[in-house]
Amino acid sequence: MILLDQVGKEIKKKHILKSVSTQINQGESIGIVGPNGAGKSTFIKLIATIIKPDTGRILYKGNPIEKSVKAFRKQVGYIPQDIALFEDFTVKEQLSFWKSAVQLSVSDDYVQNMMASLDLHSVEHQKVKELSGGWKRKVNVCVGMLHNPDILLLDEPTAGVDLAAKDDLIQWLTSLHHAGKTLLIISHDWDVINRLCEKAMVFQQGELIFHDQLDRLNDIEQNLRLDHNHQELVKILKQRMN
Amino acid sequence: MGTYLLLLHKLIHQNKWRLVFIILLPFFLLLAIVPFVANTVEQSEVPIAWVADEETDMIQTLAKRIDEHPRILLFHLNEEEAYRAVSTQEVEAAFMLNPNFQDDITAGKIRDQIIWIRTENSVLDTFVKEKVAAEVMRFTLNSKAANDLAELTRNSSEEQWQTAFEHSDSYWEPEPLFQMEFVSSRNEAEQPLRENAIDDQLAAGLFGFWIWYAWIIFAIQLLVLDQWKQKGLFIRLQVTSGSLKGFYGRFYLLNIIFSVLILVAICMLTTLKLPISEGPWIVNSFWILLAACLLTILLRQVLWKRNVFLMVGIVYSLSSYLIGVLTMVSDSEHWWQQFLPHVWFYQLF
Repeated sequence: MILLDQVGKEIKKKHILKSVSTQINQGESIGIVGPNGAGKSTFIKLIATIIKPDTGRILYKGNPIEKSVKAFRKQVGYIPQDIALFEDFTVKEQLSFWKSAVQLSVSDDYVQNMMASLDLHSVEHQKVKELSGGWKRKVNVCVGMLHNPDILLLDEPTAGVDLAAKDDLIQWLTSLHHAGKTLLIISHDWDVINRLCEKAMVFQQGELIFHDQLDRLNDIEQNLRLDHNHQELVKILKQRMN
Repeated sequence: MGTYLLLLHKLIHQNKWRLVFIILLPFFLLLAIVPFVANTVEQSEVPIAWVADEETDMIQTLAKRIDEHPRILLFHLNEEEAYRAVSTQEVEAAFMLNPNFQDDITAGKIRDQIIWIRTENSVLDTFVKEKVAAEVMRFTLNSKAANDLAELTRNSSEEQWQTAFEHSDSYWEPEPLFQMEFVSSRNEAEQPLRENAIDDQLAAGLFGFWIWYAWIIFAIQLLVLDQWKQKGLFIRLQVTSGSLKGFYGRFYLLNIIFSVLILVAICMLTTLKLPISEGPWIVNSFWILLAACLLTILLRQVLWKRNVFLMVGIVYSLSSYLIGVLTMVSDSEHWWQQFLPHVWFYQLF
């Protein structure tokens, strides 16, 4: 569905992504992992068309995405790592605003179901700035899903949330995945990756060093959580990919 | 669309106290300057030169009565000083009494007794002329009454003459010949002028200030864009709605409407509260503010750094106002002044 062909990105003369080639199929749920600065967020932003590649090309259903960016964006839901919300709105106003901004016919039932799934009705009249980190994160994800996109790009969707909120989010994302949505999830939380994803991508210094079934990574799960052991991890992963 | 605009409006004006301050400040400023400007207008005196070679009782009384009027300020000068004062516009006009003025008036000779010296720029001296004429006529008719009585009774005693004079004078209280309201009106070709109207340049300066105020409010309202950008909201908007054009369009439109409403309200109040001459003040102010807002949007597209934009915006708008006022006062023309909206405003009049 989405094909990246030798995609590279350089920011401030530093190679953030080095000639990445891979393919993402419809309905897949892929966990994106790697140390900080490995290029994970840049990879997601390239697919979300927030930034353009310096080299290579990205194809969606066989067509270069730059030729129909606006149409492609309607298929993509981008949930940034930072809470990108208008803090002075109540939750209800927030969703109304973004629903209007999307300029798509989003049914009220869809929005209501989404709010119910994330238990947002209980806080719908509270201002976002008054909510806890977990609630904010839920609203953040909800806003990214308002236009019912087919492809979900989530950058640390559970960062800073409590266990209950994390559980709610994972359950809801799982239901979306079962409904046929494509999920690309950046996370440092191995529990999230394990529960949500069937595939994994591992980035290291701008290179995609692993893209395969998640269970192939399970035996080195411990290594992924230990930053000091990355050199060893890279060796192992490169051997597996070869 | 309605929901979107309402919510966007709420976002822009999320700080209610700031909103109240923005709206009320110009009204307080106006209320503060109304007494000052109104008093200045109402209590302004017409400076007049008074030239009299002899200092008789009649002439002293005449000068005293004229000078007692709250709108007239009399300067006792000699002929040479009077001419110079009129030419330099230090006084509106000069009234020069003939030698033997008292004797002639007493004898009933009223022709060519006073020389009225004025320039093309003299306006309010006509009002003083009426006052002088009324007072002179008072003396003349009193003298005529006393003279006629002396002739009829064939009694030329000083005592009877003085009694008759004072009896006649008693009919002049309280100033029956000078009870008319002074209202000035000019030809249609000239600038219209209401009574007590404040100077057009002062009015233009005031409206220019309101334009500057509304303009700077508009610029400050744009600063929130920087915060939203830093929070990643634009990236999200861009991805979610496909483009930021619609958002920017509505955001700028709402802010322009807000600034224009403030300007129109304060301009209307200004014309109601202050004696401003009739003219397209509000319409012209509206167009100039609109142009200034569009220029500010262009500036915003170039200068995204909050502090740089704010500094450049303040310097540009203040320069526009101050240089605009100087241009209006001095009538100087330089090509670079055409980049300043206030200069366009003053050129419209």
